[in-house]
Amino acid sequence: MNVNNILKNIIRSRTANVFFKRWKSSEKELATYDPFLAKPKKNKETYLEVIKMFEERDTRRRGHVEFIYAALSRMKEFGVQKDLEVYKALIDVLPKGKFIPTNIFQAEFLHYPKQQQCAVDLLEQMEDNKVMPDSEMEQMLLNIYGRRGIPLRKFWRMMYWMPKFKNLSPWYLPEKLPTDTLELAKLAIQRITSVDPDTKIDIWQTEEIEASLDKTWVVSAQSRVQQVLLSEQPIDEPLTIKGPFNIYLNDQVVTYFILLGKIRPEYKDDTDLDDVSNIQKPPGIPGVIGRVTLPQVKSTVHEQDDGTIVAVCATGTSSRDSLLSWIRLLESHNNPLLANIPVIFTLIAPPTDVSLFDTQQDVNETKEENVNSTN
Amino acid sequence: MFCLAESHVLLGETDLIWCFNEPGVLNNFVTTCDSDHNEGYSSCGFDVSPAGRALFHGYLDTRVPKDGRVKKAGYCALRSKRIRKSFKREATYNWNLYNTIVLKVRGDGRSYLLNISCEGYYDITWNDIYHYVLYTRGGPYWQIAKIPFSKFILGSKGRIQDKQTRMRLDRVTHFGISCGDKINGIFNLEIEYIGLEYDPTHDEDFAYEMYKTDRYIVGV
Repeated sequence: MNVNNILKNIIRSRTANVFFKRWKSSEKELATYDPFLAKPKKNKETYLEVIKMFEERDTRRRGHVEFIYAALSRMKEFGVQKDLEVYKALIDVLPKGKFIPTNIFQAEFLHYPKQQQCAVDLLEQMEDNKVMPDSEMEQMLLNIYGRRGIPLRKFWRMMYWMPKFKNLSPWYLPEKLPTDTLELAKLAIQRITSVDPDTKIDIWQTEEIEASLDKTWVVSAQSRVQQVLLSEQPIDEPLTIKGPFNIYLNDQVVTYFILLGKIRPEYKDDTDLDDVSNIQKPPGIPGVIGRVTLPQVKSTVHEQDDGTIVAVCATGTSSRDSLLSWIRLLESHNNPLLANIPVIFTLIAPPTDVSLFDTQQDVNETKEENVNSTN
Repeated sequence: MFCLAESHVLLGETDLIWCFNEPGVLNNFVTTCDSDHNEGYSSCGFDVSPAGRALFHGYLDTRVPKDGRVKKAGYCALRSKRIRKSFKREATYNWNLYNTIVLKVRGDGRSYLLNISCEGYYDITWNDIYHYVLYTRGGPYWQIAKIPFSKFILGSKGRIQDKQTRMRLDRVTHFGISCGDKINGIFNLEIEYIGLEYDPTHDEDFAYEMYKTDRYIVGV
């Protein structure tokens, strides 16, 4: 509900209908003045300026509830929906002392209900935008509504629950995410590879590869275990690049790709440990009975049942050429086997095609496969 | 399938309620979203994933339809069907032996909400659902989330209640997962299994302390 709607309702009411028609014919239509709309620059300063203007215009501050509702609905436009200071400025519009109930009947029967509901809606908008109020806000609300007010109950509930969930996520993200895509991609790759603490994250430029067409960055992650797994890939079995997949960091989306190796068979140890008929003496340690090497177990997290993940990356353009450069870069960074293994690109509807090689193919195909041997 | 007559539980072992390795298990679940009721524009589905597991996927849209009635929109939910005895009589799960719910999932970095509904007698308790957040890492790796039942929060019609109580584990009627984190876009949550566990090291009864308040303020 904002000022416009209220005025429209007044105009459209039955008693004013005759006048309304007269206005229409006289070509003088009623125009409402919207102080938020009039601002050429939409930022925090101008928003606070409008609130100041409203406060100074009239000592009685008529229509302050309507003003607060109108201001709440315009917050996103001004980009201030996550700013606690702005919410405090809005609360400050309300008069102090007038709404405090003076006897139990007033306290029980919702003293100034519209004004109380207005503050509750403001607090709820804060909650939706993940803004946590502070004790100063509590003081302001206490001065306006008194300790029996409904907005105070809402405030206390928020202060009970919101800190409990604020830092609950096991994957920490900064409150303000970086706007740079490279920094975002780094955060995303860090989060994905948090399963293996040994993972090393590199940032490479595709300029290092002479044949690359797409000059961009590559955030690549590979652990030492993954390097071993990649080196154990048989040469006749191709690797696959899968993607693009999405990962959400709060409201930001980062696209990533994975390099998949063959599905490794589960290790089966059929030897009977109780069988003592044929005990071999180990060659290394004289006198010790039993094995000295641990059995090779399918134990790394990278060996999943739909393939072995040997590397993860995000590139600046997510194009196929940048992925090709990624493979070349991986090859030059301690993965010599990639020179001999064919790599299949199974990209679902690639976002951009920069590579000349791809333009010869049918772009409209939703799922393209082209074998790229890097021999 | 989980056996109700089981009277003991092995420590550190997960008993699976639903294991989505077979496509038939997916029929135990129903999906709902706001566009089903003309209350929004989200859509979702629950299908077999490329890896042969269950995939809860869809598009979350927080646009509000301009009908003057709906204030907020954007949810997709997945809920198990009601468990029944013979002759279609309604039954409940008895999870009293366990204290932890275990999920093996592969998400996309979003946070999801786990919902457990318990049977109540009075009509005001019919909308009571116990909630907890499921954070997903995102990426190609599976993750196992173990959440103790003591941490679940009581809400009614989605509003957290002032007077919190522990859930009745012998009266569980439905289990569900919902996506409604106010972020527009595609979501994907792959689930391998949902199971239960008894964790002997977790002796917490209920995670939320209750403050003493003035009379007629809380729980009236």
